[in-house]
Amino acid sequence: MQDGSLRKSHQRLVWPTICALLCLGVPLFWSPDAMAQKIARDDVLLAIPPAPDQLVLDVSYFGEVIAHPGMSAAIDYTLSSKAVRLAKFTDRARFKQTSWFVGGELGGYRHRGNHVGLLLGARAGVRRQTARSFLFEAMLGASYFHKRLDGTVFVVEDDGSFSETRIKGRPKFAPSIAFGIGQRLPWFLDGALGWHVRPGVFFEIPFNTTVLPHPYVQVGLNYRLR
Amino acid sequence: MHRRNRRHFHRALAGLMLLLAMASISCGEVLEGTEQEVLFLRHKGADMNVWVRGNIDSKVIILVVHGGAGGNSAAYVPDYKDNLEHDYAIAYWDQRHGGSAQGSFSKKEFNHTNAWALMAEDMMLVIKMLRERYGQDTKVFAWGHSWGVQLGTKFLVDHDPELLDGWIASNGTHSGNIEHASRNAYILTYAQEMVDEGAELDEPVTRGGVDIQTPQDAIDWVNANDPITEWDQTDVQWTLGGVIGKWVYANYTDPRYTENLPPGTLLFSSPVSPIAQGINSARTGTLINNSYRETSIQEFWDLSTEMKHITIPVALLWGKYDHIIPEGVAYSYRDSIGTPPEDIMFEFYDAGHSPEYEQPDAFAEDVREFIERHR
Repeated sequence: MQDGSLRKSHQRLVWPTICALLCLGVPLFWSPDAMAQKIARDDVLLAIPPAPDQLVLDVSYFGEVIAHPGMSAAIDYTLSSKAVRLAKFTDRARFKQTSWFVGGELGGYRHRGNHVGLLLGARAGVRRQTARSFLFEAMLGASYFHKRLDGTVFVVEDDGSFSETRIKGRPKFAPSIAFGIGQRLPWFLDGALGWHVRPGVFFEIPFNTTVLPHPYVQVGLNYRLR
Repeated sequence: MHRRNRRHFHRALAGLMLLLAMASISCGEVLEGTEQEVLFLRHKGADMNVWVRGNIDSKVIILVVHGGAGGNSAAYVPDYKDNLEHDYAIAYWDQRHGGSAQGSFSKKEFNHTNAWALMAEDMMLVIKMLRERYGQDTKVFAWGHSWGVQLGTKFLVDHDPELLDGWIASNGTHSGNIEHASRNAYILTYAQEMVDEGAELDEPVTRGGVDIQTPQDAIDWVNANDPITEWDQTDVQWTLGGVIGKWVYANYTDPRYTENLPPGTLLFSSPVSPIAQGINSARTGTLINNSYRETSIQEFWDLSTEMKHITIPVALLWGKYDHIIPEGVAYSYRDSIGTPPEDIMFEFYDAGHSPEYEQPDAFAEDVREFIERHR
């Protein structure tokens, strides 16, 4: 009976103790005042948004319809950038950053037995970097597209005879649109390096009497030059 | 590196490697394991690919003249790669604005009034190019399927047939008018069989104010629409032929093949471009192959009176139960050419529109026999 009454008295103490701790402890450690002090300290030390990427180099595997292999390289210059601090991160300052950029791109690939494509052009777009360093981007481009036949090409001469020609290419225009995801690696090279996967499509104009879409994917690394 | 970040990094790296592995698969399957070469003919704005595969040393080439218009030649690779490619070289030619053919030309240069003759000229040049590439002593046969027969026949009429050592035609026509008459005969024959057996149409045909619910309705419609002279009639006849043909295929042919026609494209197999095939097919359909419209080059024409000067060896290898180009066309084709009877091979198969696919062994054996006789 004694043990039982003792247990009951202990049980009776549990909830009052918890309530007391909450009433006393929360104001003590997490009072608005304490929080304000901490944010103020962060504001001084950490609330400066990271400098935007001014010049970014990206090098990618360029796969026309994924499977036709190639490479591409681009340099993007940031025109404007805006950083917004996220309030929910109170222990350390975090920002999401939106940047508008323009750039130049050079790429090429081979569709074996069909053609070799070379793209040289400009692109412009927007890139958003989240507080956790993930990247989301969208861009439009316009390129000169040189399409070179991948095979032996015969042309018909005026007299009806054939000759093999070395001029296998045709000049084309290629507008494009692409969307990308990626991530900056903040723990590596001081956050200058990132990866990206960028599906897109460029349009070959003209193609016979019409337009031919070329879906592609770029998978690669980007590096902040400045 | 923080453990969670490291995990993210490893996942990203794994994803990257997976994508690169997918890329490394890169279209090797069809290119490997056989002797082959890709040629292009550049002519009047078009860059037409000719994929030459198989036994090039045989000095015999079979030029594939594919269906469509706007179809593709690569669809026939599965039919030939395990049989005829062992004996001969097969030249898979993608016609102008068809298959994976490329180029740049205006639609004024490619419409229902001029495309047929232009493509026949292309075919003549492709034959010459093959001899230029593989030697003037190379024997060149051509095999046309469906629309390819119409195109090949135009070539034989407009140009020198002797450029070919032989012409093989399967389930294509030399006359839109005879095609219509043969399809009406096909519908009458098999609709009557359906009436006799108490069979029903798989689906009614309700187009352009016509309501055909039963096989007897089909017979009545044909009797009231013979000959076919209007575009609207071709639309109804085509649809009705398809409905009757479904019953015919189920009763007379091997459903393993006719119910599962070949996919038509070889995805991820160079040098094929499935996207180009799709775009070319859709665009060519709009420009020159728009059935039941005045812009179609496949109706209301007739070459039968111009074919008597065709005297080269001809093989007519036909799917007997085809509702698209019925057997009656084959008889008319045989009677229209000037080839002596001993140089004509005339065979029917228990097949629909594609005997080379539905009866591959018998078909290949007959092609082999024809070529060996005339090479």
